[in-house]
Amino acid sequence: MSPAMLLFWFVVIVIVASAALVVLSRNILHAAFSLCLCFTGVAGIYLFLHADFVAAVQLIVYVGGILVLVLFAVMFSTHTQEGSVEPRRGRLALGAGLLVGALAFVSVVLLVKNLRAPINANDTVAQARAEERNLARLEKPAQGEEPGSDEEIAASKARLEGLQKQSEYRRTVGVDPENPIAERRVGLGHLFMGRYILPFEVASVLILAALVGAVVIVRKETRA
Amino acid sequence: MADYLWKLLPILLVFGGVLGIVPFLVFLERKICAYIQDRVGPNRVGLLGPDGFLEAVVGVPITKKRILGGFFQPLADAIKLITKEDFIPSHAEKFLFTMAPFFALLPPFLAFIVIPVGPDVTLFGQSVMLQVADLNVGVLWILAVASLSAYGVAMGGWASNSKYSLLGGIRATAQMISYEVAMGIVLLSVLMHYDSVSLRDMVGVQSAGLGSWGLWHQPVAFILFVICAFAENNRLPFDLPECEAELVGGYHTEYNSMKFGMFFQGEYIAMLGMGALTTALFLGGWHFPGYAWLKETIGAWVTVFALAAFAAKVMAFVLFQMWVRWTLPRFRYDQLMNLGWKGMIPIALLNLIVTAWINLPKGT
Repeated sequence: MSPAMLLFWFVVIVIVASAALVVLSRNILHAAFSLCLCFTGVAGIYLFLHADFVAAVQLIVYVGGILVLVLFAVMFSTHTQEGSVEPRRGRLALGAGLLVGALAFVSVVLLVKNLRAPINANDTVAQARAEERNLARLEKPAQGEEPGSDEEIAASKARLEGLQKQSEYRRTVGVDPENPIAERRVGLGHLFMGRYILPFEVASVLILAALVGAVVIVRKETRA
Repeated sequence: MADYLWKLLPILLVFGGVLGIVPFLVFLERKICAYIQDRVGPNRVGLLGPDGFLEAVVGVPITKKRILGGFFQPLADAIKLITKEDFIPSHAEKFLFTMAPFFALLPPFLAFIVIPVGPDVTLFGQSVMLQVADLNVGVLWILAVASLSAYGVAMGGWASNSKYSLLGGIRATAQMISYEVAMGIVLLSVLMHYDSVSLRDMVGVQSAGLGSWGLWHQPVAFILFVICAFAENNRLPFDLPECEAELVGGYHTEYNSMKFGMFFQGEYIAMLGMGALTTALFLGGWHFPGYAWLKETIGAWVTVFALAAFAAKVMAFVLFQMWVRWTLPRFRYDQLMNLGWKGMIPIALLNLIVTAWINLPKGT
């Protein structure tokens, strides 16, 4: 097992164990700290997916922002004593929990199966170049090598065309294939401000509505 | 394998340098504080003479004159802290109580990873980058790590199970969150100015002489950033989390021995980190006027001067932090929140809009 794989499994174990602690812990402050560990582990998974920007944002927003607010609220609450949070036991709760868990699992599996290749211009360009070399070898073989059959050449051409289309698309969304890592942020920005502007804005309106709602609920009535 | 070993050089340089300088900073702070308050400060534990460090080791007096009086006080303090009984109050939550100092010490160290301390050097035919890692996310890493530092304080405050500590922890988390918002917006306008998130690139932009330093191009951001740096480090005038007069000692009231020492060290490392970050962002990093000329004259040895320039700038900022600490009184809690949310954030937003407007033609 390579060091990277060892690290990956370590992160996975941390995430699963801390997520289990969040659910099973009787002390809500312990649950909050476990959630911190879980979120940090998820940031690690993002790093393994070469999404370093998302990993940094995960740390800034979830670990450093939202969770600190959660801790803040929990520290003020009176329910931080050991065993003060009684887990609900009962067939209905158990069944509902299992059902929701199974649904979430199935949707994640479906999502992963239908996922298209992530924005990684580096890979696409590298693959396209490898395919170009492959095609050249098939069409004009070196001395002492068999030329490829017509089907092989046609399949290689089709693959190359697909890859070129992909890298072309990536160039239009702003990912520079020559410098993919530094430019991935730029691609992300273009996608957010271009292709996915509507969902992005709808999400922000939703958050704003929640914010206003929270203020309205908490605010003291000053006038009758 | 050799590559890994060469990677160790900047790591050792940065971390060893930071750890080595912290005791010296403590001594400096006590001396400066004493000077401002018209006292003498630590002047006993020196190298030789009465109470001297060497004499404590040897056991016999060597000279009657104190040499380097007080300079070895931090060393004596460290020995005291390490040899003290490691006491955990019976009502405290043991696991979190023990973990909190680690969480206080780690984030300031992590922030140093992305700070470039000097130009690339060639040692024995190997080019070494004097920066632990040039992460793609660059300065965002610093924000991510800075936001983690709230955990040590919150954890310590809660796990101590004492009212003073809890109040200190709550104040610290509220303060850090409030000032991180302003700091994030300030950093955004700085990113726009440099058109990069890599601190290495930022220092590169500032290489064209004194006029290219970020300080002159982003003056508002500079002032806001310095204020945020004070608030993030919980230093006076923003030291409400440990406010002696109201909270005894705040989040570390119940801590003693080396656990307290780790909180203390974390604070000084964070001071250094903020100094290094300010230097890299606004004060030209390791550049100094005449760098290009010196490089032509003495060649590769210019790196030594670059490192010295970086250290001098960081120390200047740290001294400034100490000076402010012993000069200004503490804010009241509502004043602190008003300044953060009604003062800093609107000004930072305005600065962001102006910067965007100025830099828009550059980007298109």
